[in-house]
Amino acid sequence: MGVSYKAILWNRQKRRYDRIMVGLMALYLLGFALINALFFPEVTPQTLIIRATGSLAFIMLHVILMIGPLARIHEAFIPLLYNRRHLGVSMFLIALIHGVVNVIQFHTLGDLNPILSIFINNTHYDSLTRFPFQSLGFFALIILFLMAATSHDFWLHNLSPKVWKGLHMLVYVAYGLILMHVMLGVVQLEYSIVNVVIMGIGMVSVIGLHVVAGMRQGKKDQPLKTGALDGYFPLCKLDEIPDRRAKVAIIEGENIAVFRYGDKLSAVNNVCKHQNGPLGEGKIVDSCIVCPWHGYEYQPADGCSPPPFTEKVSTYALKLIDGTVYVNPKANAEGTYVEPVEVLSSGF
Amino acid sequence: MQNDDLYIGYLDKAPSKFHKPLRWIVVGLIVLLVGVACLLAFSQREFSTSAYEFGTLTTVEGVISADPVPTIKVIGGKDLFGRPVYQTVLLVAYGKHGADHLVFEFGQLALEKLGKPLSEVKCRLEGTLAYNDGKAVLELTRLKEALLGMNDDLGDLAVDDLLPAIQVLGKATLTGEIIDPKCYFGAMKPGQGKPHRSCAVLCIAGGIPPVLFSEDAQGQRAYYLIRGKNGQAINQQVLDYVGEKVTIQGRVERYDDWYVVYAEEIKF
Repeated sequence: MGVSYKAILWNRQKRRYDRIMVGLMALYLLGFALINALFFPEVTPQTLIIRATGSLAFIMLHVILMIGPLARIHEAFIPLLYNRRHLGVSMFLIALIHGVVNVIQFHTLGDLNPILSIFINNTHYDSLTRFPFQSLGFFALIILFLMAATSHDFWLHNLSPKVWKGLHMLVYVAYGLILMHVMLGVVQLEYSIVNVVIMGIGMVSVIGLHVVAGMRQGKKDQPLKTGALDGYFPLCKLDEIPDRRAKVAIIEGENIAVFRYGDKLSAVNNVCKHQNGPLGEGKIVDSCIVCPWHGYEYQPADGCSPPPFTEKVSTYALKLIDGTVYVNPKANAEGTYVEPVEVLSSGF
Repeated sequence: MQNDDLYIGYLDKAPSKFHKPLRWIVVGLIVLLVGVACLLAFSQREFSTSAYEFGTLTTVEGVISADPVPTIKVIGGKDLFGRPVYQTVLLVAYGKHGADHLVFEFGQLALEKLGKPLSEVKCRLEGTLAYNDGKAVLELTRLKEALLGMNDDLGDLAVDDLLPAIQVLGKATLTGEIIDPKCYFGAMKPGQGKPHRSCAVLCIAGGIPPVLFSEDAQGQRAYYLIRGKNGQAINQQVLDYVGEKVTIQGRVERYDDWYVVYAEEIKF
């Protein structure tokens, strides 16, 4: 949360996450190297590095892209979401090794500038089979670099969440470029169908999970279509909201989360200022709403992050009539205090 | 802390309900990574048995020729019929460069020091060897310093023994892939195909002689040095065709232990 910045605020969970991540990466790289050493002793170290890092970065990119929808489908995957940026930066570093070793191996020690050589020593841009696939990988690496370089919250705040999110959505462009990079490159060298099948499964998994998560979210996001009473819309019965949890609804285009905490009710905008996380799927812990994605906190009555943090979300007026919660979808300015509705004093 | 079920990453411990699923996720990732590593590794094409003696300099002695491409003919005695036994080793320079300029300089040196052309002089060269399929390439890693010495004492060999044995084989249509011999015969694996194409283009553009690699249905391989119709270098003209399946029409000659195709037409 945005007060001052440290490179990484380490804690036990982050350390475990990173240890497991590095361990799995090492497992893949060493496993791939071991299989080659045992069964393909003729392979050169350069080819081994290029293939091991290229395939690992490709797998990691798939995992990164799947974590988002998986976390939307089942909460068991939320811990993977929390430190996804560590996974992203690690994936970029692995892809960078792949790219640098390729440039050194194939494009240096000639008469052309190595970077220029990527683009101009094969000019069959008009042919699918002869297309210079290296250029696609180069542009994908540039996108991954921009994402890795701006992954810290410092950049999120300075670029604004909208610009930052837009920049990081370029990961899908990078994914498309990398798919084509692989299809037009190594897949054309190797005769085996295995590469194509693995790529197909990966692509179908990424697209399929996004579609399923999108459909589920679409069902959740159905606008409330009940009539209003003096500008207040009936949301639900009070006992439908568990203690310290929220009921979410889209009313008149406003995405609203109504939290119940003890004998009080408050309504805030459902979208976290950090990365648009669903606040209504979070929980009130120690008097603050905690976003389930990255733990950003807001006070339910005024939508403000607790001091010294500065994030704010909109608040909404509520009524409780005969056990039914009514919400006014007219958003108050971000951070506006709204007196919580007292559950007991309403005679419920 | 009023929390027993929401995952909050900045806390030291995750709620217990996440422990078991996370273990299964990690197990799943281990299975995925090991499985993909095995599948990708075992689906690779076989690597060639070529060798590039990186870091090791080898000294060879023989007769250097600039025609049709820079070579050194290494003579290893005579056979039962008194004919010289030799291997013609292609010469290339360090990096992605041909050795034409070095051979030219060696020729000048032979004329200055011994008053004889290179074809009548034995030279000692030091370089990095690459070899496969009975073919060898010597990279003159130290460039001009690669020439360790030259002399005109041919021992029991006559000047005629040193001349290239040329045999005209007639016109032919050859199909195969244009490769750069330095990478193909050792420096890289794979040294052919699309992923290697950029490198091969740089090598050939840098003066390394292009070679047509042809393989028949029985797996028999043949290698043809590619020259222009009139024997001239056509490195720049073949660049568009490198790393692809092409057909070359032209006159084929045997030049010592290499074939040479004097290309009249190259097409995809």
